[in-house]
Amino acid sequence: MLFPTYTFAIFFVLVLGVAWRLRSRITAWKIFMLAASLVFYGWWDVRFVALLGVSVLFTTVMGMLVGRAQTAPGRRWAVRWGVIGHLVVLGFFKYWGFFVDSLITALRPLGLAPTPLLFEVALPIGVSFFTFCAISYLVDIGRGDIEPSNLLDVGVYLSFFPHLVAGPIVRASEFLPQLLIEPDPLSVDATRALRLIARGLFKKVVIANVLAQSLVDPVFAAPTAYGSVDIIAAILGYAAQIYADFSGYTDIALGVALLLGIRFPENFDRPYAAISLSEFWRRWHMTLSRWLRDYVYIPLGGDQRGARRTSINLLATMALGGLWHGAQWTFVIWGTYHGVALVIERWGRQRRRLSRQDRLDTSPRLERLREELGLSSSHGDVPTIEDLGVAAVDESVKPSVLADRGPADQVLTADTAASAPPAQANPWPARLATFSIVAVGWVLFRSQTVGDAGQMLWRAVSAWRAPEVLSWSTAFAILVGLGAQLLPPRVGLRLEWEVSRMPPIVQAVGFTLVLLAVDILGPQGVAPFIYFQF
Amino acid sequence: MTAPRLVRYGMAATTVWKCAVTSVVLFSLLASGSLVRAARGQEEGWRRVASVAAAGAVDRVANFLSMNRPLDWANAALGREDVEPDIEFPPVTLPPSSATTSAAPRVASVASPLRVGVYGDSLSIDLGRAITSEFATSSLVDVVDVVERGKVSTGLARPDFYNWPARLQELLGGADKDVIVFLAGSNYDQTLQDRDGNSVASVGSASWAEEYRRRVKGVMDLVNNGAHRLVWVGVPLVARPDLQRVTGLINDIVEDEAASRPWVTFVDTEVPLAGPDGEYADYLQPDGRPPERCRKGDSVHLTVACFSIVAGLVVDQIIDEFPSLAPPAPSSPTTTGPR
Repeated sequence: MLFPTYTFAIFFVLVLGVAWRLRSRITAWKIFMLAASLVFYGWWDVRFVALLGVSVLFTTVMGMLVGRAQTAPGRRWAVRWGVIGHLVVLGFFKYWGFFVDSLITALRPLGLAPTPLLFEVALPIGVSFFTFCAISYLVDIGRGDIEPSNLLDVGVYLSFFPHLVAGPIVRASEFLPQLLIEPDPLSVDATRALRLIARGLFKKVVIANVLAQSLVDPVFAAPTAYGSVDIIAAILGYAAQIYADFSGYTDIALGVALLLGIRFPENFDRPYAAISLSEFWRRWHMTLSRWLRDYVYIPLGGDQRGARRTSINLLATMALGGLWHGAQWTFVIWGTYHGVALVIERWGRQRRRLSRQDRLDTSPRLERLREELGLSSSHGDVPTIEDLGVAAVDESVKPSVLADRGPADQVLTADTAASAPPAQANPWPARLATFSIVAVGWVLFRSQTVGDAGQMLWRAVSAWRAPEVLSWSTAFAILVGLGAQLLPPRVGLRLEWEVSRMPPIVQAVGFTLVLLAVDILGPQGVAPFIYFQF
Repeated sequence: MTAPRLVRYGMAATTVWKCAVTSVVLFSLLASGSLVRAARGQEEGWRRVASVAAAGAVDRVANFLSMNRPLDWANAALGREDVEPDIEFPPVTLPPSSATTSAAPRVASVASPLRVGVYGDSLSIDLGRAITSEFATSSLVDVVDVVERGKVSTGLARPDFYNWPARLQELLGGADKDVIVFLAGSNYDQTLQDRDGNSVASVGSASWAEEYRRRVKGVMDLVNNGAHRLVWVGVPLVARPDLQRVTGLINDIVEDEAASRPWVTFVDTEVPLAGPDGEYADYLQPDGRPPERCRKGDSVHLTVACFSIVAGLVVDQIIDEFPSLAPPAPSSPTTTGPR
């Protein structure tokens, strides 16, 4: 069931009422929430409930095996088998077609075709998300970060419907402790939740759907039919669309979970306001970034094995992140493109740092100061994990913080701390440069083939003529989708605070009016979320 | 000095639930038209039956209280009516009028390009884009204008949800098209209904085929009234046998009716997109060429590569019917035609 539908609204109202009734009886709450989540998932295709069930069972059993392993090698092997099991399932359901297509290409020169393998596998919605959650659960047990949980807890964790189909990728260490603490039923952070849901609906139904239908889909489908203005607008439009689509879903997921008394980590923090690529990745799909950091980049060696190996690790991690987005070479190339850009950015930053350091080292005043303080003048240039795009994520949402948060100031503290931009005289050149690199990447991401992407980019600069599909409404949607990210967070927080002081009935009516506005402004019919396919 | 911290006020869980119920109820009453439309738009089955009944009840209450008027006015002002327009099919034009059959195809030029409109369900949206791409990458880019106006989850079965004949009449009245390309049929495994949502014929019954034929004839004759050419694209083979039985029947009806109407051409997609055994296939395996993935995961929708094949057939057909579009060299053989 899709979030922006009546079906979900009625489902959620029922679940919300019963969930809070059961919240003081935690086992009953878990059983009810598991059942509700399976109904939510089975609404699409009841066959895949079995797959989810098998995943839960397998994760629980492997988690217990990892936890009970007496030796470190035994633990490692249990983790490996658990991860391999999940990857095999993910590989079959998500990457079968990609594997066969690649095999066809490889065998083509030999005149062979893998005929018995030529069949299509239906992709279960959300399989990447719950598989990644399951892998993180097993690895965290293996690392000793968390203890194995029972079948019910693992079931609720993996299948909890707000994050089941499109994230955020919540860690067990963030989620499971919240099951142990009964949230205060007299102090639900409803105002923030309503704002998140309203904002998410607006982003998805109005911004993303309008841009997709009116501009992005037609132009990307036939770029040769359009001129430069339309193509540039479509590229900008897709940048706005994919952000509005995915962050809109995340907003709704966060709001829905919050109303149920569960806090999820933030997943987006105004990514197009970033002034570097590494900062972009600190702000875009943050839970995936940290997953890649903790379960791919660091196990590969991270930044601890020299500059060259760090670059290779970074490229491999980003390429894998690209592949996670879809079973197509364009996604791999998109990930690699970002990896290369991050390596170059990091190299440039190190060069600037060395150059600055050289100037500092030769400064007589600084040398005198060092001597007075008794400090060494040698400064190593050990790269830190924060230098790397994939490495840096929002660490503000720790389990302890989650447990402590009430409806009030902790969220504010986390938001402002996470999004405070580094001081810079004029951030706009860097911001525009970063956005341009990201937007070019989106062309690769959205295009069916690399050739199509090349054609889009070439025509963006070589086919100047009057626009055909760009209209005032789509231009406005682009402006809102991109421009809203430049608003400082305090604006929204101030609004939340003001609204939270209003009587609940006023908030309910206000929320309804927003829903009406969304209904009027959005195109009829609900398009699927882009990230469902991932 | 630091800024004061803004501490949001919390809300009791019971109050939250009451607020949620209030919002859902209030929104349902204020936007009851959208509610009914959403309910009718669901697939056939118990969920739809229950939804339509519940939405109908809410709509009656909203009508009684006039609570849905503001949104209806707003939608009307934006040209988004909640009630589908009605239509009377034109009288059957067989034998075809002389105006249609004898008029020479007009010559398309840069100043007066050939206008092609692609309509239908979700399949037609991708087909429209593929046709646009086909023309855009050819020498005809400046002499053919393609407009795609498909609508997801529609067809001729459910005029209560989207009344294609009436919509076509509107579209054709507003902008004269030389060629109409129509493709719909991936949503037909359901009861045929009238504009008011009443069941007319169940799937599999004789009356279903009869009523569907009437609608197909109606659309074909409607197009003829505007002296247009109609290229009706057959529904590709689908994997589900029960659905294939319906789509096969639809293709037979359309092909049969097209054969007796010179202004209509049926483009068969079953044969070009079939596997080696003539049945549904996820991959196409043309002779001497590597396999090509043809279907998306739902086994109904086509990949871009396969839509290109269908678009090529349609473009060939259009060129065949408007010889001025053909290149000066010996014209390419027609791949499909009226049968």
